[in-house]
Amino acid sequence: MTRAHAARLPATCAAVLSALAIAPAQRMPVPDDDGGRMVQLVDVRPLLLHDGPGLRMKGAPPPRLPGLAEFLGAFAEPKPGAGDAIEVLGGSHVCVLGPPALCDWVARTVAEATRRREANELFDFEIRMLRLGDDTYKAVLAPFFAAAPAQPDAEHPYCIVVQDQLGALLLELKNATGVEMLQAPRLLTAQLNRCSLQTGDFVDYVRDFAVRRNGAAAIADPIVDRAFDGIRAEVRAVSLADDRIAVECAFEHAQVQRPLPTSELDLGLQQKVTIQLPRMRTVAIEQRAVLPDGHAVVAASQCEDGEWFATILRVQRRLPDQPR
Amino acid sequence: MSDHPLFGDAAFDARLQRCLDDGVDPLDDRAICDWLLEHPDALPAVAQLRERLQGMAAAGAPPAAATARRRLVPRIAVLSAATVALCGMLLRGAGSAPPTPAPVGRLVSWSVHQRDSGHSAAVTAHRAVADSTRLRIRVTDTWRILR
Repeated sequence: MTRAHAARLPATCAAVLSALAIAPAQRMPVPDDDGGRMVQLVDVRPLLLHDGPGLRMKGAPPPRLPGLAEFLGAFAEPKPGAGDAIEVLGGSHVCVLGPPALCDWVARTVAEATRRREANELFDFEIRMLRLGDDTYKAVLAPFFAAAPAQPDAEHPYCIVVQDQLGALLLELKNATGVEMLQAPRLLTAQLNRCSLQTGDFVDYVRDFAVRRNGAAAIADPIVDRAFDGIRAEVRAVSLADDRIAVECAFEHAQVQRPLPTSELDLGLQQKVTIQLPRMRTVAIEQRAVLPDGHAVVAASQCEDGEWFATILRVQRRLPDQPR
Repeated sequence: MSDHPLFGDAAFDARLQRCLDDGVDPLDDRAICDWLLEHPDALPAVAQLRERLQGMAAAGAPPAAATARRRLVPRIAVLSAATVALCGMLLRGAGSAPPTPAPVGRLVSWSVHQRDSGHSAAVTAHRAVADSTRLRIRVTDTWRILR
């Protein structure tokens, strides 16, 4: 042992003893558990998570993506088994009940996310939703999926591609007829933070009338409701230990038919009143994938009427001062 | 049978009755689903009819759907638009479909809900087009109708 090593020994011992002292508080065995399960507590405060209800515009629907605990459970290796659990406690800690390997995965993932969060690394998302006829699918997307690496466990046409392949596909789709493509504005988000974006209009309409008496007179007050017309996108992602990115996204397109249909209503007053009866269609897509940095996942599914819906989700790591 | 079409469309009525006579779920019939999407006012009555027929079948009622129809159809005509919550899980081949490639034109599930409020009601029809761990696609149509 050199003198330099000897000089560092007290500090090293102190660090080891400190770790040993903290470890029992962070992880402890479950008493009388046949599976050897543990309870692990992981501090997520350094991630500065924004997972609460936050500010929501009146009439805006609640978040579509599940919370942090479900997100971690969906991507964990090994998968949580029966009786295992991942929960967020007090918004500041993640508690894991499960085998040591599951506890390790969560602790390692949060540690990696914290390290990247401190380096101000962000995720840059591109999300697209497509609607296309069967002929266009067969002409453009079917050959694209056929040429991509097979995904044997996929229940739908599904492939992961690099940027060049995606660029060629987008060009082909742009030139094809009968393709309706919606793209959310690009989203930047930090590790494990849920980020949402909403763009569109709120359409106010007279849903009903409330009748009140004012002496001998009856007054009908309109009851106004609102419907959302536009797109909403939500994302959450985390870097895994193997450098890939686990990503979850929800994309929603809501359309209100214009003009709003109306109907006359007889409330027994002197005059009939008119209420509005809007019709709305919402297409909501939720997607999960594990992608290498800068790659995109393309997935499609056919409706019962022959029309196809497809999604394209691309994610790339980015530092704040890095040009797009 | 009444001279007036129950749902205001003789062709739809005939198709619905044929489904009932054959013991076929009306929501398995593509033309009926299309018609209902165009005529949401009829959704609660059809949903309730279907629910009652299923309840009778489960209770061991005679399979002669025509008999059931004769007893039920007059009731349907006067049913109020009370809250109907029907989850018609039409798992068309969900258990038997090959895992890959995706079954063509798959409808994973279909459900209709009605929520009353004042003089109008919101009728919502959900269609699940894809439902896997990687991809979920849902189409929701919502109409407001007069009660």
